[in-house]
Amino acid sequence: MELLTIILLICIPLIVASWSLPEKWQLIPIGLATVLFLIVVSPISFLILLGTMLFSYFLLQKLNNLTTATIIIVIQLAAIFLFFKLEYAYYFNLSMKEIIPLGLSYYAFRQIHYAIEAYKKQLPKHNLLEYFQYLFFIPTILVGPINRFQPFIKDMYRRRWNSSLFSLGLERILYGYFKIIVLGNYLFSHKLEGIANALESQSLWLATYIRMLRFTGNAYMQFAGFSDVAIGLSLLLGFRIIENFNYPFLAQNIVDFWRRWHISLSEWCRDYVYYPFLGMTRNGHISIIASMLVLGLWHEISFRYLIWGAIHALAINIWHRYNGSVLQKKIGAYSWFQKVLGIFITIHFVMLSFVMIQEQDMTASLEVYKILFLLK
Amino acid sequence: MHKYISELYNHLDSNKNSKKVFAQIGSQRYTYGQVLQDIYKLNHLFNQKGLKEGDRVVLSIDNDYYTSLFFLAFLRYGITAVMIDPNVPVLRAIALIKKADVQGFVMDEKLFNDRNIRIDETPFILKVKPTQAKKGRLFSRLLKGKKMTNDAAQKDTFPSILEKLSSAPTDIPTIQSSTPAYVMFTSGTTSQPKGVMISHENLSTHLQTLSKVYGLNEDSQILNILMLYHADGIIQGPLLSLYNECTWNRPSTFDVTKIVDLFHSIYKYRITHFIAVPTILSFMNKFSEGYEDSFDTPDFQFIVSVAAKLELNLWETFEQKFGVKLVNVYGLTETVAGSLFCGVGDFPRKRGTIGQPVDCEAKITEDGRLWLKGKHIFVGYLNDETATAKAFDGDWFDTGDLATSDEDGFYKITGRVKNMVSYGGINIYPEQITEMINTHPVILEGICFGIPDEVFGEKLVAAVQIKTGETLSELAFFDFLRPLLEQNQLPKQVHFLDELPKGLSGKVQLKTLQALISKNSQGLVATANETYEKAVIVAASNAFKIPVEKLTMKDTSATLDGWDSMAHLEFITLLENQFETRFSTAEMMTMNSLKAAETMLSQKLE
Repeated sequence: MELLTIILLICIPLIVASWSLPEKWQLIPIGLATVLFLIVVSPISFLILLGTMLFSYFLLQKLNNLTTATIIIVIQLAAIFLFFKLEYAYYFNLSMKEIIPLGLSYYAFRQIHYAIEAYKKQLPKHNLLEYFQYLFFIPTILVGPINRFQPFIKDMYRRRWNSSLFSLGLERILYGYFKIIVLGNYLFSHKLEGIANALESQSLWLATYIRMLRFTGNAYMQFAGFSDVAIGLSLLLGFRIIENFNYPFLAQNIVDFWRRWHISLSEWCRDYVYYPFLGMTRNGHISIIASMLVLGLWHEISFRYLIWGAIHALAINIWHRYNGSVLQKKIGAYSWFQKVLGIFITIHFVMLSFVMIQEQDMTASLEVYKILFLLK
Repeated sequence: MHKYISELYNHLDSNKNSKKVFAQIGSQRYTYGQVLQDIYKLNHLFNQKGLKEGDRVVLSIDNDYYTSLFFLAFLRYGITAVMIDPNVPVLRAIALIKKADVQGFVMDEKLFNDRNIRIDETPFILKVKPTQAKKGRLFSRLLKGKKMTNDAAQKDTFPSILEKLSSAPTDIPTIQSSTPAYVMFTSGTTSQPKGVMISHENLSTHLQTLSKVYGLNEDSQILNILMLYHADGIIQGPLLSLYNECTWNRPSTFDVTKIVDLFHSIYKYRITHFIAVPTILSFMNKFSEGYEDSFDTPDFQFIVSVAAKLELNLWETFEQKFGVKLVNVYGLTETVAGSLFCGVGDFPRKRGTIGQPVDCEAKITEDGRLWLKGKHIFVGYLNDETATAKAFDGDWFDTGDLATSDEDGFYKITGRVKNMVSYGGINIYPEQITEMINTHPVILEGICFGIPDEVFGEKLVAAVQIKTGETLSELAFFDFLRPLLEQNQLPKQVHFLDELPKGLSGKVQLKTLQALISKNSQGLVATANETYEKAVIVAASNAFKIPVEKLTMKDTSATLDGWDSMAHLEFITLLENQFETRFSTAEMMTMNSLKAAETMLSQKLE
């Protein structure tokens, strides 16, 4: 059974408990269920999360120098992240079933956010239990979004029964599963693959193009569907979690795309990579490159993701040059045309960039590019 | 709407088993069924004790639910509640009790001794001694053992006494409309306290007005955390909620460290109306970072600012920041709660004014005084015909405020006839403090007055002249005053002068003194070159009025008497101004010890 479905089933009694127990006990079962879930599914992940949580919390509490504490926490989390992402764990016989501990990418980034916000003195008053509730929150542990601590705490204190939120939550779960099963698994994966196979002998270019479309469409449906389920479950528990997608394929340029695709990650990179780099270098272009590289490598530490991040950084920088230029003003005179052209270019740039992820290696990707650009 | 209080209770009696929430106090909920049954029980008790309509009983309890319960029970039975804040200094309390000439007392047990109450000479005595839920009661019930002697000793105290009373509804007596519903003490000196008597007619008339202008109904959720021993607290909280059969919310009492709870409660409790004073709004405005969306809920209607002048700047910045409607109500204890309304519900508004009169008339006389006439205006000062006669000209009541009105009929307060200092929305009458200062054996003459203050609008300062050959330190001065005055009444500074400036008539020239003191009051903080620790200590000493030598870095808000929410803000502001920095909401909330303040300051500046 899919892990997400297991989470969904676990959440059913949690939802009942969260609205029927006395108020002060309502959220405790959620944290405990997350602990049990992690112990069963990924004990190494449980140990990492518990250990880093305690370390971060107490270091920030006890160490008077917040800068030092924050640097130590970020280095610690980055080291753990890299240790597993670079597959060193494999050599130590850790985490045999999965190379990456479950949810590590999300909770590591959540904890870095927490430490930096503590450094900025932007955290509300809270205790360890509340920090635990934030990190051990089952709906978002597996697939994000990388939700922030402040709104989580706000919801924790404000939450009350709200039938419209609850019904919205149910709706989102339904949409989520529809996106995953019907649109993602059936339409994009199954149907489009069939069409591509049928066309292959007649037009290799068209078949390749459809496969590119299939991969991007399926990736979106799967990820947006998972996010919908996570957001929906959170709503059923009384928490409003940040949206992760906002019609990304309607983006009119690449900057707009990153405001609409994996929003929680792109905002994280903006706040904790782009702005610090900007502060240090006072150079926007370098800061964009740094944040897009982190964004790419967050998915997987590999050459292809490095290139993927770099070309997105390049595209963003190019767009910033273009934005406000004479050319843009000229095209902007035809706003309808500019809009359609913008969407067309953005969606194709994104799909083409996803080829790198779609294929096993860069050699295979180059073959696909050759076909798409009629070089083969 | 109910024309008389008795009509209200008649109607409520039909819902005596209602599960609807009457009050949410802290995490505790009280249903209408519960409060009505408690009221019936108390009415049986009053009956047993022979209390009758118009008898005056002092109400002085620290517990919010009990205070509102007794107030409502007295109203139903026709007893006049004499409201005396349980935290009022002893001398003042004794003076008020003497003035009130009462037939009974319902007070916290410890206050009976403090206030020298002669139990045997008073017909009705009820000591309030809240019981604590004891663990292990299950077994004692199962074993059906004898009740502990401790319980036996408590059986005549409240709330234990309720156990033996019937909860059957009592008959609702016909209460004369002129019978005082309650007495609340306002201005006047300690030796001459003035008790404002509000009749049942005043009260019911005004409840109708408030309900109408606020647009209240049974779905309304009123958030009111104001002091219940002030009219805006008790009237616009539990009573107005009961009158509209809606819910009164009081998540906590006001405390700077609980501002966030206040923000959260708007959504959590589906608040529709928030009754606040400008001081609270000022705090919320100052520490709003991250909570700007607090009023953006489907239920919230508007904030009602009461009790003090709502400064235009606060009005505008608050509305802009929170995207919420802020309206102003002008009234005095003598007018139950309000009289002029600015922008409440569908009523017109003009920011910076106090609005227009509703269900009453207003006029400005040639000398600029604002006068009011209406059925809600109080019946007179308790046992004080002179003061009553002075306050009225026929049916017109002299508010003591100076005002102007514009062509659209909006009134604006321009000043006060009475000498009063509004310290962050809390009205302080300097004469009362002056009277206390002049009882000090080494002070030849002293006077208290207000000077402008950046944070609190105005602050109270004292100027004193010491007798020849005597000495008095600043700290000894405050040590003397602290037991005599409420924390907010303590002057923020004292200036020792060789001579007080006087005119030919021998009266102290207040304006000269104010100008002199305003000029001198700038240099009271430590210089920027001093260490953070010293700066924190000096700021704490100034803010909390505690000698520097009595302060240590281990002191916390729990160990320092003067560390209340007002002083907390003053402490922070002193440090902010001195070091030209600004603390975040989170820092402000966690700054609950001197050490924490020093750490934050050093981290911030280094």
